[in-house]
Amino acid sequence: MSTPFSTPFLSAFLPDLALLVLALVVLTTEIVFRKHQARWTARVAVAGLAAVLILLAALPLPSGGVAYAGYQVTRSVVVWKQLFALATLATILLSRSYFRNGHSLRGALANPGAFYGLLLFSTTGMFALVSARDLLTFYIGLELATLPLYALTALQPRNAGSIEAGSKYMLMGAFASALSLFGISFLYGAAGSLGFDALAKVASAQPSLSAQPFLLAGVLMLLGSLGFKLAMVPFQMWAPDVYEGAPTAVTAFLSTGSKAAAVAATTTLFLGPLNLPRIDLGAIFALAAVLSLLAGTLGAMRQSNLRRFIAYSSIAQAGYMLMAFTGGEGSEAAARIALQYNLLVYGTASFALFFVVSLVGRSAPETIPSLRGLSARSPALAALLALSLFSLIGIPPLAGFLGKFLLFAVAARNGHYTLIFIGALAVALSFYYYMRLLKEAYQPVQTAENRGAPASAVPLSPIRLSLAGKCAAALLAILLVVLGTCPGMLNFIASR
Amino acid sequence: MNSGLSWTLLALPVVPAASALVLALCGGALLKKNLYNVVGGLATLAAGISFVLALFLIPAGLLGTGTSVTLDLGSWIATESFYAGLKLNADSVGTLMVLLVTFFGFLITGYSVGYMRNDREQGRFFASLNLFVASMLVLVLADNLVLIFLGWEGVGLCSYLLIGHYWNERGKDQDVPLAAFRAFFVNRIGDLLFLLGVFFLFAAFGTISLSELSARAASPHGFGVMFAGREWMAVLAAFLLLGGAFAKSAQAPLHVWLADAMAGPTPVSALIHAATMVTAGIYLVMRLDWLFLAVPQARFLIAVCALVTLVVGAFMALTQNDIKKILAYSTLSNLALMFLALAAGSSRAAMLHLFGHAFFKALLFLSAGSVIFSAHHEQDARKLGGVLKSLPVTRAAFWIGCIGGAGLIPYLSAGFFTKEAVLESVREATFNGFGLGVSGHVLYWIVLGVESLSALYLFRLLGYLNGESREKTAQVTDHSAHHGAHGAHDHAHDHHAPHESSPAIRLVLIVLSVAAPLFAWLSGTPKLTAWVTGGLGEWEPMQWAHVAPFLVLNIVLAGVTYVVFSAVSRREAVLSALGSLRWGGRGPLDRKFWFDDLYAAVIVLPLKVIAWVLRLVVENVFIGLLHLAGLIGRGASRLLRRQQTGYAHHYAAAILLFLTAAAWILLWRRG
Repeated sequence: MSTPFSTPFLSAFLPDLALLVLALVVLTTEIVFRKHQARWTARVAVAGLAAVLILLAALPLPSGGVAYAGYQVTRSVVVWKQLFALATLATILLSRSYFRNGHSLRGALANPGAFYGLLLFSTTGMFALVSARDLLTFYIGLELATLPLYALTALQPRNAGSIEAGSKYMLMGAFASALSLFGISFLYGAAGSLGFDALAKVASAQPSLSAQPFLLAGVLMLLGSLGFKLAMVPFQMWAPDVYEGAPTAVTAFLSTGSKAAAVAATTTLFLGPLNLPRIDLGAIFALAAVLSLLAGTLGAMRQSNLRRFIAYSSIAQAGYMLMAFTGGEGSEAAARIALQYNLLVYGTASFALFFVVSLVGRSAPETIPSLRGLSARSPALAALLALSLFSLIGIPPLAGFLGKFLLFAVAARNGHYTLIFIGALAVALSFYYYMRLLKEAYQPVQTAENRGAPASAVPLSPIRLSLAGKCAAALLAILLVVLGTCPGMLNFIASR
Repeated sequence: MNSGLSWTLLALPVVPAASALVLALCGGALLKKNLYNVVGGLATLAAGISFVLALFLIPAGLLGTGTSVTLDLGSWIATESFYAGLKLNADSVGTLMVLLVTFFGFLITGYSVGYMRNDREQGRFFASLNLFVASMLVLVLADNLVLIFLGWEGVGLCSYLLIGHYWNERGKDQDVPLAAFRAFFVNRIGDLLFLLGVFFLFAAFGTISLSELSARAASPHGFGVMFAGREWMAVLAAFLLLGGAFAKSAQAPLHVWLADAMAGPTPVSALIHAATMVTAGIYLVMRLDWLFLAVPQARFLIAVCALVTLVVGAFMALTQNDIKKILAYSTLSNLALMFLALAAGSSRAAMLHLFGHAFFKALLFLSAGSVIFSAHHEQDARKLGGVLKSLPVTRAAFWIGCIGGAGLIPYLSAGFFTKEAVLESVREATFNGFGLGVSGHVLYWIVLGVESLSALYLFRLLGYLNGESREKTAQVTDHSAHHGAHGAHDHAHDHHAPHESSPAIRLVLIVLSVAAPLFAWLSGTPKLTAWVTGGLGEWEPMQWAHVAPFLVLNIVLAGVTYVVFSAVSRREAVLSALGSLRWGGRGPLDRKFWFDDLYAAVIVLPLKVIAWVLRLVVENVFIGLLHLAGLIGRGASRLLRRQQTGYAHHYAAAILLFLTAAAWILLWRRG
């Protein structure tokens, strides 16, 4: 039994503490640095996050993990935390240019301390979320991960879209919080305790569902609250509006880090204590997956706004990931690995996409027609876009293929072949909407003028990448290829 | 477990692959700055580093009997039922192949620096050449069949790219893109068979790791356990894999691409289509020898196909006039010899001849390249009368190559002892399969007879090139026509008298002219041979009594041929006398033994019919379905947009609706 001050627990707990301290430090940087605030704040945050990542990778962990009271750290938890930290790191790197004037048509961001601080608090919340061993810690983690995002969404007060998005997000978020609190109280009622162990014991001992309406109500309400975070249908409706209104870097974080946290939370609960063979939640997840695939696919088809497009694309991707929860008993480990691999791959492709969007968005609105002529403006950037889209579709040998394969394999364990068929159909349809972006990027500009499109809106100056930008692009491209061609990485993830 | 030496296995393919990447990305930029030698130099350096690394493998991989160098990089594809590791392995066969590939890769890349020096697309050329070396190394080092397939496809791709190197040269006597396509297409047939073979092998044995497979085969009750109930799968796998090997190593009926492949630059013909890539099929059969030993029908099929190829190659080589085509057909029949040795169950003889052939054929091709380069890309032997007289180094190299290829002088010709080993192995064996049986003695006499044709065709070629010139002025008028096509040729040449080409070419020719006899001497020393092919069976002392009469016969044949063909008047008298044998251009030799007609009838025509039908179906049915799907999708998308109202209370209502529905489903399903 670990005590709070024993070495293994401290060393497992250290990254979370370090992240909390980092968030507090970053908040104060605005006072310390008078000049180049944004730059210095970002540097501090990046250095700190790098340290947290190193701590996560280097600190030893007993094979069974460590646990104390409502908090636990296992290998799987560490992988989740690494994913969150990576997403945050990438978001910070992406957001740096938005603090400079002239790097976005929507105007520069202000308050770097608040921006980065909130981002890091949200990450701290995610850390707590995946380490939770009781519902209270879980709820606090969930709220801490979500609350800063409302503020981040509304961080451009002069932009009406940003304000609308922030308020809408917060309204729906409050609704989701209410749901989860209700759900937790019902579960407490059913189990008589907030701890996961007690919950699992009570849940697995139930002879029939109708005997335990509390349990059912609690499970469904928690599912609703997590569905909101996941942007799964029908809890997805906030997503296009919020993705459109939020600052670009925040949108990137919402669709990667926040989504990873939602998936991790769903995994923690529904592949953990609430993995109930008696309650056939697989059917509900399958239904939600089908609906998400449908809504995401159909919604993305006719979008011209890139952010709304990404929102629908991420809804469809959530649909694929929901398939991992339909595997039933015995598939928990496979599902967890599939999800972690998928989030890593999806995050990489997303950041590649956002990287392109952020560069195109400097001088043009963030719409699909603005991508026109990208291959002429910067062949490398167009190639990166192509790689990222191919990976999102799931074309071998890119990483996305293996990700989808693993998810489908989990669904196949429980015989959900209809679901897999619909998933495959959605992949085929996703060709259409992802290829629209690529078509624009590789379309010669003359054709656009012939069609009478507003060619004047598209400045065709070549896009020049800074050295850091080139390195980032190369790193993303290599990751997309290597993750797909060396599936042995999976074992690496699993063995961590 | 991975020692320092192991990592050289990784460095071997990675170095040329990295160089290929650099050249592919920056080659064009370097050429724009006129840094021609940097491009070729980098490629040569990379191949050279690989060669030096390969030398380090000799002590452990070759000299230590039964040991091998292994590098295990963990898993590559791992699922519950299928496993493919990233494991490289150099045992004695692997080390020999690595040495062969890197040695010739290095020499021929260096040769290309001279040969390609005026080519504007050198970046592409050298990138492909380096990539070829890397892929070939992956092929020979890989420990499982999927990784082998990676190298297999890689060399196929590079072969396609390099055959098509002069893709934009029209007006020559052959269509370069078509030649490249044909090579690729035939190889695709082989690749498909290979892949299917791997599937069946996996189905039969549950593993694709070569070391595991052969270890199981070697265990005392290995075969009983392995084949239990799955014999047909193993037999099918053997035949399918053989199809892949035949396509890569140009054996009948999949040999038709090799002669066309001569459309590529000559160094490519020497490296890929003589010394290394075309031996991949032989390497594969050698690796799976336990399988072929257990399936005698497969060995019988090898013997039949190899015999056909041997005859076709030797006779076709007799009538060709293009220097490179003569050599290509000679390659066919030499590859057939290696397959015959494999059919006889002697990997040792096959390996020995593989090396011998690599030495003399590379030498022949490279000297031919030197001739062609000096004569401004003229390849017709009849128009190159006496060209060797002004090229002393090339002449010496050509002589050594011809003597080597015809196997005339023991301890000097690289092909003598190696062919001898093949013949001995054939004589000792019997070939049974499909209810038929052929004694090795019969085959031995046939092969011996056909092989003496090699003295004929090689010395006929030598007679042309080293003898009298028919029209002294022909060269000048003729090659001027090709100038436009080849772009920036070096016009410093004296057009009337071709002279020795660049120093890089000469240097490589000299090195090989020394190396080939050296190998011949080594191959004739039983102890050395046994030592080098230590992993591949016992060495039997050669029986000079069997050989001596034929040696004399061959020397006489070669001498007579040379004398006849070196003088114009004698040459034409003989040719006109033989002309009546050619059936007015419709005989087997002019129709390439009807293999092209066979392909047109069996493969091309059905494919065209299928394509025509599919086009009808696609244009009339599928396009309509697509339009329908588009309409449905558009309608559904519109419906979906309508419910995205933007009002938060609508969103909340949808959530509650779903939760209620979910609760109802769960309770209803439970009853």
